[in-house]
Amino acid sequence: MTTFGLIVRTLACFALVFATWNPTGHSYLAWLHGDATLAAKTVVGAGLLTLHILFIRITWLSLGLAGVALALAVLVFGVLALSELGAVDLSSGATRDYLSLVGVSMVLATGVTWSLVKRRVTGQSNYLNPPP
Amino acid sequence: MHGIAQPIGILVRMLAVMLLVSATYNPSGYSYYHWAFRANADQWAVKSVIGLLIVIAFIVCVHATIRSLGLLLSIPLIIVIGTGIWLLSNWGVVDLSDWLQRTLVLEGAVALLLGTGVSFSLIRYRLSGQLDSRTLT
Repeated sequence: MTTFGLIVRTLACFALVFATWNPTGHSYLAWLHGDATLAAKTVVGAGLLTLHILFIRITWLSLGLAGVALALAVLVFGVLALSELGAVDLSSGATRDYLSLVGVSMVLATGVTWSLVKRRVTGQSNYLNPPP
Repeated sequence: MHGIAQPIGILVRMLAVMLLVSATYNPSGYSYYHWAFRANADQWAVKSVIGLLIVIAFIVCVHATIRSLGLLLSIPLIIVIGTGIWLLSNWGVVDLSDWLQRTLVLEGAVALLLGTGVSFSLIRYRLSGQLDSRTLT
């Protein structure tokens, strides 16, 4: 688990969330309204669904209910703090959309990297038995 | 695995826990406690998020300590640290009737305990080859 690996995993979570939907109009959900064939839309959708299930399950297993709740609390108060410092304008809809997407991506990235970070820092590893 | 539980790694972990403990509270008057509870009441959201992060960091340290040391080793370690402070006080190195020295010694003791807990799974792995792992499912 190197810093590079941490960055790559975080970027992968951001790519997954932003590829599914984002406000710019270039995303899977926007592409559904286009004129691509139904088969193409279905296979990409199934692929994205698989990745979402995988990442959400990894996050749920590594953080648990308490960890996810704490991560969401940090995000909510972090957004409030940014708003208090004047860094973001919460009255803008696009800002709220982007903050939600970044928040979900950050929770997934924390969940995916948590076991690796913990093993590197404390030497305590998690394993799955039986494998899912 | 390469480079597990080297002295420099243990030292870095100890210093990180020391930083966490002294950033939460220290007698100088510049700490999270003084900023959040003894200063003016503005910037409540920034104070809340920093407080949450500190609480999470403590949960992680305490959980790692419970998992690596457990009661069986943490109670003897607390006794060793406590009697060590007693010995230092006997030698006159620290004066426990002085509030400042008592606070600093207490913070050092907490940091030593949690720092050992965070590093102990690595130390045990290097010492004995016994890997600390836990099933999630």
